[in-house]
Amino acid sequence: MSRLRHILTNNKARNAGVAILLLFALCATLAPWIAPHDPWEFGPAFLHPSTTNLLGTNDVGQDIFSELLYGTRNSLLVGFAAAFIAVSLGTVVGLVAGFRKGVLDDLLMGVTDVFLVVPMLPLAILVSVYLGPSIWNLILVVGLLWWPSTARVIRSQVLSIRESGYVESARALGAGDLWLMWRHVLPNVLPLLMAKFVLTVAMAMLMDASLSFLGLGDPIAKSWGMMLRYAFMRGGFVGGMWWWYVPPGLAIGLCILSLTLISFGIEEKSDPRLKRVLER
Amino acid sequence: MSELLRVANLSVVFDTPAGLVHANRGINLTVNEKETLGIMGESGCGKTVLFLSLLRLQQPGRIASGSIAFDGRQLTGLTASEMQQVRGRQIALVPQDHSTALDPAFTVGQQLDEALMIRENGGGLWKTSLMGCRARDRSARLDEIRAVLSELALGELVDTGRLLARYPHQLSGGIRQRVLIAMALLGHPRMLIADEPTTALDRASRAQTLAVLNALCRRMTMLIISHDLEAIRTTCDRVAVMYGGRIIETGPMLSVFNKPRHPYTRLFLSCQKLSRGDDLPEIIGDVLNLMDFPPGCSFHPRCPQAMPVCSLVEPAEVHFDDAMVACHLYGSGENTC
Repeated sequence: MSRLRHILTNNKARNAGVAILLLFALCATLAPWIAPHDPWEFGPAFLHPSTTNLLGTNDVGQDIFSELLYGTRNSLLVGFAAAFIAVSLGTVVGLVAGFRKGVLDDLLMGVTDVFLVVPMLPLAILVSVYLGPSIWNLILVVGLLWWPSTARVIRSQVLSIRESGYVESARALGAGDLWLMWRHVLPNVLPLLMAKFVLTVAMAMLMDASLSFLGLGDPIAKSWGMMLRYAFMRGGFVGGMWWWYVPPGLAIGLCILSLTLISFGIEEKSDPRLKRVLER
Repeated sequence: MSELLRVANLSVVFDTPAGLVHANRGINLTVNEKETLGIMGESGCGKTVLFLSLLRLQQPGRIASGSIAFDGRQLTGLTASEMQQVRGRQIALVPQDHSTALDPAFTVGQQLDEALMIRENGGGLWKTSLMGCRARDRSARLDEIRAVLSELALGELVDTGRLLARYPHQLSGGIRQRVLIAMALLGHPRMLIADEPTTALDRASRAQTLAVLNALCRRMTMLIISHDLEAIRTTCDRVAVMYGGRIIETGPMLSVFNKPRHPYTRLFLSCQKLSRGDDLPEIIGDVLNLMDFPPGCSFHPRCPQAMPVCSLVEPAEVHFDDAMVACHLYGSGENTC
């Protein structure tokens, strides 16, 4: 109990982040039960906010509030799944490159640098045009393109850990390379990995929204990016219907803010020297 | 007594941008079964590179020439995975710096268990972590860990649960050092290498560690690298003195300590025999630059007994009954002191 209290009172900014994210997660899981309407159901179009339609309706009469709730599912799914792929890939590349050094390192880091200098959004647009619009393609595109920064960060840590006393002494005990990577290097980059993962989720959600807004997401699926797209295309922005385009934008912003706060919290926990810098 | 380790003409070099660093130059060394050999010498004389090469962990240095025979087997020719079998199970290492040699992410118990799992299943990841946990049940492993720890006078801490669940940073230096010794012993090695086992410790833990090593050296083959003369004196049967990447004198511990032959050994030993009010003795000059040797004997620029020949010819090893010295003072027998 005291441990729990310690964790909760430890860092206000991070707790705010966790609270916001939990709220979104709750909306996502409970969407079918708490949504007042079926978001795919047509009805009277362009209604203003009222008690029956909290945020009004869109161009084909779908309830915007329900769309927003269902959209949470999509955004969180894409964000977490894509980040999982990206961070796993980046970790493997960074771990192997940093631990093995030599030619393999040069090769892997060369590929990483190529991916790093290519502008991400145009490349993502290009790839998703070829793959066609669907959630899974979005996840794949973001996941397979967003790993280089993780690889770089992990590699730099691994380079220092591999020279540490405990890796050397485990090697002297007869441990092999894979064993050392799994048992000694990976656990010691884990805090960094968690911070990086959370940040990558935020980036993936932003990327998802951007691609959906550009029409490269699934047109039937409900997502915040798609809502913005339709609001933009069907006169929501021009007509000043703020209840149509402000909520999804705000939701994206809040989600990314919460994830960033959590990431900072983890980073600070793993490296207390950062604390003073952040508090200043 | 049979011979366990024989190092012949071992040379280890490091390629650096500034040039070739000769860390070890033609080392000859034998260690017999159940014998404890102490290697002493000042910092930068190549002690560390020597024992790392025995485990083939000298990277980025490379073994330029020479051979290392352990129990009749050439270690220099083994593949990486064969060498992995030798480390820990044939030759185990007790690292010098106890504050960094334990992984901060795991408890002491987990790390001792790891040493056991590596011994039983090898250091490969798949075999050891997937099947290793099931190979023998936990309580049997715990018993073995407890047995080794009580041998090192840590059994009481285990029984009260104060040791195994602790993380390394929660323990004192002396206990960490003994945990490292326990990890090395759990591999059932034929030979134990202790790298400066007492340097990073305070007086009290140093005495405890020495007592532990003293008990161990009665039943094990050990190689103790140290410049702590007291540690060498209490544990070793024979000593070897290194200077400039070479072994310049070997002999039974007592004869080297009481009647050092090489001028360097004499100075090195006198530096530590201080009584109150004495001037601080020192060996004039700097430690050798391992990249740029003087011609002849590498010690001659600092040697009080240097002769003209010393700066011209590198002294050969002169063998006595059970001792060896590489110095021109003992050259062809016409000048013995």
